[in-house]
Amino acid sequence: MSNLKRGSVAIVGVAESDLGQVAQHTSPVDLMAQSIYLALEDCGLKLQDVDGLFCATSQSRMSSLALKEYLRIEPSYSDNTGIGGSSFMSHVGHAWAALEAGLCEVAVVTYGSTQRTVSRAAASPREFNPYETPYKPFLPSSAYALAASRHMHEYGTTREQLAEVAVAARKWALMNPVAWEKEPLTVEQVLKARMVSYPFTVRDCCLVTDGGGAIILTTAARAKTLKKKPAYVLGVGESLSHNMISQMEKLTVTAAAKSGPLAFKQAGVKPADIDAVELYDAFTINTILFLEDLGFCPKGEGGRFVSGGNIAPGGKLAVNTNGGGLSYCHPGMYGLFLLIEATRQLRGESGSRQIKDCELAVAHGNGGVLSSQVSVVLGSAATV
Amino acid sequence: MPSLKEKSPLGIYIDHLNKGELAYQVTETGEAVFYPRVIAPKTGSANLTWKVSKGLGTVHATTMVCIQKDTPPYNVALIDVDEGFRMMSRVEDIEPMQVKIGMRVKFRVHPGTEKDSPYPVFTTLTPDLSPKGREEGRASLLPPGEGSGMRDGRAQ
Repeated sequence: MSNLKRGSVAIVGVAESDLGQVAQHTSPVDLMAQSIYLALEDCGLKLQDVDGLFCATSQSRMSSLALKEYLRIEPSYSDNTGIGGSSFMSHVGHAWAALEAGLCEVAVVTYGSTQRTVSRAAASPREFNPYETPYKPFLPSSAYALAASRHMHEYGTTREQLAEVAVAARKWALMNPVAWEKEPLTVEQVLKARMVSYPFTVRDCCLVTDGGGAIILTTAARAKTLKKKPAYVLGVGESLSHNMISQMEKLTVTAAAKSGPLAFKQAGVKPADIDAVELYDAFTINTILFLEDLGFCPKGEGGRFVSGGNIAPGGKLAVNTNGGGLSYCHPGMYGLFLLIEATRQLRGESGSRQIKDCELAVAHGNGGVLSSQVSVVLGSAATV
Repeated sequence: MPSLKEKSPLGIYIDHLNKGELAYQVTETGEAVFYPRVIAPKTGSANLTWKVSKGLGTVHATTMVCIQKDTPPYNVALIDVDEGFRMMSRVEDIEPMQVKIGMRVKFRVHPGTEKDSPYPVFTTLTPDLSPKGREEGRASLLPPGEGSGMRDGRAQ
């Protein structure tokens, strides 16, 4: 996205739909529509203003068509890019380009999933793969577990350190009124929970919830006329690496090592400048890998870095302040919720979990089995 | 460019498995390619040659899957095959938690059925104590060119 102008567009409206478990027969597009309504209300724009549609969900093969039909609007631009949970970060990059090129003026990026209600098997049926399916890996967990086994082998990362990630996420979640999890969690409870795919117990794995969300983007000029403080898009970096975990070049280095530097370079900031770090924590190893690959700590140090409450409330670095996919919500493609939380932190709307003087945030999306990595740097007006 | 109307890359791979062979491809420059393809990754060359692996490898990563209620936990592993490619498989005849990174393993075919194709699995290398076996065992216990089982990324 290096040809796009830093700060030329902004996120102006954000909203979650109902989260957790929704009523029987709710459709993914119902959840998109509910969150679009709330996000428009958040910024003061109307549905008729929307002329760019960006969406993805595992439950609708051509979701932009389903959404267009539901809303009965006439988008001049639409995009259905699907690269897993990071799709929405990719949509931000694409919306940025479309807004700058004048292909649309108000873009909605949205998502909905009812995977808890209809079951994961129904919401995200797995494709047959002759090189993997015969071995019955429990995907995606087993793929991330294989990466974790390498990290433990190469860097001495321990199960206790993985558990620290889940414990920190839970502490943040307890400060988020809409988080799924409501009870405290200890390292010991994580270790003693039901084993899923070694070294992961069920507490190392993301939640299975319903939920949706929407964000509204527009040009910087229009953003200044709206209700809320804009969250300016300063940088987007994207890197795709593989589809099958066996084809990942190096299991301990994700493509975030490429997407992060691209986004930071474009934004003209360093990891050390970032106030709010929102990382896609589908599994506890993710947070460790992305802290390393995005440059918040050296490669191999992630396990030690997350220990001792360092990324929990009151720690040195505020990571996953909404409680993350591990404790807040995870409807299957979680990336959009990171953009929502990053925007709220920049606006100062995050209540008891608000980071003081939050001017810069990174929302880092992951998709597939560590397959697609997209980093978005957002900033307040002071940073543009 | 071979015709896809006669044989697919996966079809040729399965034919080899039916003969007890683990097949892979190499590029003009000798780089191993797996899974089998129509054109070479990166270069796009159609000049890919089929080869048969010696079937020896090293465990690169491992997990034990516990999710199936009615089945005991089982192993899923990534194997670095000595010829320089990596594949998903499982290591059999050993407790799933005893499968360790760096362990030397040997290929065998899990036979196909009417419904399912055959696929490669691995067993741990247990030394054959005859003099010839000992020698072969010693040679096979070390990955080529490196002292320990720790091998990062893909060889060549």
